Amino acid sequence: MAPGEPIVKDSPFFAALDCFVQKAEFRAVNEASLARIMEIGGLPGRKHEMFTFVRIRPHIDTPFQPKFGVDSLSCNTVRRLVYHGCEKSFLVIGDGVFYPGLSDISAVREELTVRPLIDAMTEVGQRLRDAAAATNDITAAMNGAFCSGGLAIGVKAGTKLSAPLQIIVYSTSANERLNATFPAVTLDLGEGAKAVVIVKTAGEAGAYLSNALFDLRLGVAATLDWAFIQSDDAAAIHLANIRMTAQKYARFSGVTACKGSRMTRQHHECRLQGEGAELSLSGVTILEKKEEAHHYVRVHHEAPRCQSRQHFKNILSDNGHSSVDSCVTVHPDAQLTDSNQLVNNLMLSPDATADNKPWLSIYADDVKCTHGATIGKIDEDQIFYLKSRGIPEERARALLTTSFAQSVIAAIPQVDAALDARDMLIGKLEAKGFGVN
Amino acid sequence: MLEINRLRAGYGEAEILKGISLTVKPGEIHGIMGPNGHGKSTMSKILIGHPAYAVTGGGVTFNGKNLLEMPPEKRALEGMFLAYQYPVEIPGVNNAEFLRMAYNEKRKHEKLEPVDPLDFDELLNAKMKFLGMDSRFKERAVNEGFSGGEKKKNEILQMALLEPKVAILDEIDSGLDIDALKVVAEGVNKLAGPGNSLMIITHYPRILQYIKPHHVHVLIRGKIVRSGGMDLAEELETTGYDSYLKEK
Repeated sequence: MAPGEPIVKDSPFFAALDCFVQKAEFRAVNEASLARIMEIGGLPGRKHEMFTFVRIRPHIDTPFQPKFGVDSLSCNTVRRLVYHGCEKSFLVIGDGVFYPGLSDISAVREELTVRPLIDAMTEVGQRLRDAAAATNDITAAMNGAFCSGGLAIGVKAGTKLSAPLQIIVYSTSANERLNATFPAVTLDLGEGAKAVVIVKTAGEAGAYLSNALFDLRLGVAATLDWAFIQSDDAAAIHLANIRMTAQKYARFSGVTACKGSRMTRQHHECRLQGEGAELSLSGVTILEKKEEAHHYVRVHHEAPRCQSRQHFKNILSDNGHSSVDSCVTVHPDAQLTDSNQLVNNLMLSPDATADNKPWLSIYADDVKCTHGATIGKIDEDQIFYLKSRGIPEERARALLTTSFAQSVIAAIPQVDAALDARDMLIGKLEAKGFGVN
Repeated sequence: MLEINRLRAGYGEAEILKGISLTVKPGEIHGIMGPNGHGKSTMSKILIGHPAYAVTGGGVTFNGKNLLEMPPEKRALEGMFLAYQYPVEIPGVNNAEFLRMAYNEKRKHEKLEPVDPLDFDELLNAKMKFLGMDSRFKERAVNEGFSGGEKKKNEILQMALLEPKVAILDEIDSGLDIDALKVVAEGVNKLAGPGNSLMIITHYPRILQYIKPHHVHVLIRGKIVRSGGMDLAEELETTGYDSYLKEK
């Protein structure tokens, strides 16, 4: 059992449970999750292996109000969040609840199925319950304990989505309490299906807790190009659990761009279950002030001849704190695994912190696995090279800093999403005097 | 144009240049020859203002201005250029964007309007064609993954765009096969003219068969020990530097 502290009966967690109005469809998931929280041993401290670098407790052991559905969310607000190219292929989750009326999937209606999660629990309830019963992550278990809504998406075998699908996860804030939302999204790609899916999280100015679960299943030879644009308010607590399973020859290519916030944590749990499956996961984070962003990644090679590539880049200024704790586990049957992990950190301040733990756990004997991390400042030789071409020092520094992030941003599979990530992240640097133009 | 007067300079505690004097006039091509480790590259780094090297004596004027007082970017904007022996790789920075930025800095210095990306693209295409370069170099990161020859060509491309008054080519021939050397040398020759000057730094006389210098200098132990014309380079081809190294 992981080191933790039992949740006492008068804790904010139980206070929230007391006012939680459970829906019958979700009861099994809620109860399995609650039971798991008790089994896990309560709220994790710093000795918990999963939270070595993250002081999660103050952010989840805090008074919050589970919220299901927005009081108001205008079409104009939504429209501002929709990417060019997704105007007829976007779905809106507001405070944990799917809003078909605010969504528009007319461009891809014939190519996929979209249902409110509550209507799909007969099909997906069991897997959510099983996952809840097995998770070691308190944040995933909390999502399950309060889960009451979300989305179930399916792309049929052999279908290629003709437009990128955008999922907007919007949260509202309130002055008198901390709104907390717990949406879950299941996405199933049938055999040979192909899709580009972009998640954008955003919210009102102010504090809120967004704890979302994404359960992605890729069938045989399915392809998912996935991007996650985390653009929550700086006062928000953003927690996300992304589970992905890939069958034979399936390919998952994911990019996560994090603006960071008071607490941002993403947990990727990826399983390459079929022979020849491929994963590529990259991330870019730019932090300032006291912002935090943490990536906890577990990649399981469970079948032979799978490939995984991970590359995370962080740019840290002021007192920003990032971490990347990433383990690749190669199971005994996963011979001929090809895996690499790389974390690069660019430190712009002596007070910033970058924790890195790329590691391996290998139980097969014919594999190729690499892992590494770098922490550094801007390369002075590069600065001098640019200066010797007439570029002033401050512009040279700006160019090198922004270009550090650019390679990951460029991997975002949709142009407008990539531009949004660029503006969101590079904009932070420009505001700090790292503007190139 | 460039007047180097009894220049002494070093790296850390070591004095490497021990009193170099050299005058480079407009339109002249100077070959600076000498074995490795005797100060040729140090001289080039000093002239472009590398912070790792310290001037301990003498002076340099560039078009009548004190070069040593200028920061590196000012030297570049005034027309001083170094084609590096080992060009730095800059992952993530698009080559075309970098070139446009450098080009527009120069225009700004000359109080001209910046060129927009489309106009610059036309100019860049023309310069690349002029140097026989593949257009794919535009979209790659600066020097990242370039072969030795590609890096040298990219340096000459920058020279072609920035049109410096004095260009120092530091071992531009190193790492090049004979065909690449010819291409690079042809590019340099096309850029040489009455208004600008070249300093070809090399320890190997072959490059000077392709870029004919007006003056050749032998740099040994931080000093110019002999100056002459093209015949000096030809002499070095047969005699090498041994006789200079034996002299105390």
